[in-house]
Amino acid sequence: MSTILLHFLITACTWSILAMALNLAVGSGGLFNLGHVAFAAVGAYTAVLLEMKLNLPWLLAMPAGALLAGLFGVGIGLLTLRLKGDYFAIATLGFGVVLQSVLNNWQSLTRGPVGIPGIPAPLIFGLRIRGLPLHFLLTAVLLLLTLYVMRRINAAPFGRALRAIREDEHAAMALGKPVLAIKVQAAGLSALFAGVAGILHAHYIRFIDPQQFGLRDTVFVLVAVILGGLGNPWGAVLGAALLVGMQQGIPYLGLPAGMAGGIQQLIYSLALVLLMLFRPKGLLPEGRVRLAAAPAPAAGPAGGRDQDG
Amino acid sequence: MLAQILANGLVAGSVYALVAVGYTLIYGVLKFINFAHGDVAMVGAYIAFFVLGLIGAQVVSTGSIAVAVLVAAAACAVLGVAVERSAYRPLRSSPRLQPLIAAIGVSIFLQSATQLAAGAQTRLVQLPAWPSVQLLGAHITRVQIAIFILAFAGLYFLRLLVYRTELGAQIRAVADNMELARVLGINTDRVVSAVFAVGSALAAVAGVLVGLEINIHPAMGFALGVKAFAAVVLGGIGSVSGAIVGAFVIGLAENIGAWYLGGVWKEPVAYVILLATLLVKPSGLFGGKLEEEVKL
Repeated sequence: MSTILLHFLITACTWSILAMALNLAVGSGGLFNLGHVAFAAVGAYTAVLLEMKLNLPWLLAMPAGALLAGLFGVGIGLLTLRLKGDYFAIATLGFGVVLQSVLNNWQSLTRGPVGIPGIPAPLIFGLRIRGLPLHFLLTAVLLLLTLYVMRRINAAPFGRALRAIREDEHAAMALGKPVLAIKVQAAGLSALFAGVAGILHAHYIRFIDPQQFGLRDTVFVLVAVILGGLGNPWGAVLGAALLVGMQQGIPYLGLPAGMAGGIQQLIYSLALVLLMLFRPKGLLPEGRVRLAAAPAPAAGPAGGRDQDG
Repeated sequence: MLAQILANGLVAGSVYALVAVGYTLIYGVLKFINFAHGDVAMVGAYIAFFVLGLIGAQVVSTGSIAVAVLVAAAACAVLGVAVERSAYRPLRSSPRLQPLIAAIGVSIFLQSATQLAAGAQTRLVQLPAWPSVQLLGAHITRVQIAIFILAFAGLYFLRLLVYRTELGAQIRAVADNMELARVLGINTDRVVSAVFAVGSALAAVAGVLVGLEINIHPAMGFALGVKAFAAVVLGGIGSVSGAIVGAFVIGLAENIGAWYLGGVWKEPVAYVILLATLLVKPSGLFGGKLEEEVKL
């Protein structure tokens, strides 16, 4: 396979994992997280620093990074999830920016804006992950794993409770669902998988700096999720693949230097507005969830499936 | 030195206040965070610079700046109304996240469109070498004085509008209860448009002032918007005087923080205040009880 194709696939797989993670929070849970890539940054920096400063093997550093990202998600969730939807969005946005400036300014640990080059190639059971084909294999395996976990979560009672909270928090509470606990767990899981994506990205590019984890990237993932379809893991994969394809395809159009970035931003900002106006459910809408129980009651006040977001 | 920090903080605060009052008014009538509000200010700054270029004065005079400010304010009033009509009004009864996502889209759209039209580089306006004024040991530039005066004029105008006019009474009625206002025969769509026009015009003035004092670039609106938003939340969202107080607190805190912690921490100060307010007292300093209603 050609280099260009493999590079596209690796990048698309990594962003798909990040997008599926965000989709769990925004799509299934209605938790509008605007600091998502901050969790990827926590995962990436943790794993890389453990490997480079403590000489930990990838097989230990990777779960440790993902776990710490997940714990950050739980912590931020505990602090902010009592807030209403748009306040939560702003609080997570603030968290993302503050984390980015910590990464920029805690230079003794992170080297600040200079970044960390020369990230070692992962060593997995004696196999050194070097070169595009092996990297593709690694990201593809983790993509499938994430997809499997997300589908299981959505089908499980936990996923149903999460969607119930998204649809009507008070009704879910009245039914005895531990609303805050479920939201915090969803935020933690979402952050954990964001951490995985961050770690994959760091080991593929082999260089990280705080610039790679900005609001711009969170919005990129957000567009992928909304374009693909909120609440549908396949939608996140499709959205990420389309956006990464566009990002990597634009340079071939031969536009004047400096315009490619602007055009890309223009396209996906328009896509956001137009999707909201005309197709808020995205390309692959969340399917009706098959319930074991017999026919659901006709659309009543609690049924509200036709007005989900 | 303290006098200088205070002066810089007050000047920054008055710019944030101009943006923040629009934010809080829009939230007041629509209960929606207009993410693109800061970017409207950025567009205003670019329009003013374009006008200054058209006037073509090598040395920018006070008169040409006044013309540029007025044109930018008028153009942004139209822009604000157009954005509301096309992107937000159709989503008014949609789930809460949809207008917020649309507003993020509008924000990036304005930014990238400006970047494509005017370039990504930072631009400066060549001001004449006006001597600065010495006050209690602080150097205050002419532009800073102008910012202070213009901001207060703008805020006073807004106060008159909201509390002394028919339209102001309607705005307050819609902010209080849109359904009830409509039942009473108020044309709520017209009121919402008026709020967007006024808020966007004031934001444009703020954008031009930032441009004159510092510089302009396509991403400036985002930072300005977040600081204004932090001010709004600190003051209690929906409250006009709260937003103004919040803006001055943010402006002062930023400059004091930069002085004691170093310049790199200037930007995060507003975010830290925003987060702390959200965590400790989300209703802000002057806000009433937050509405409990969950609208998803």
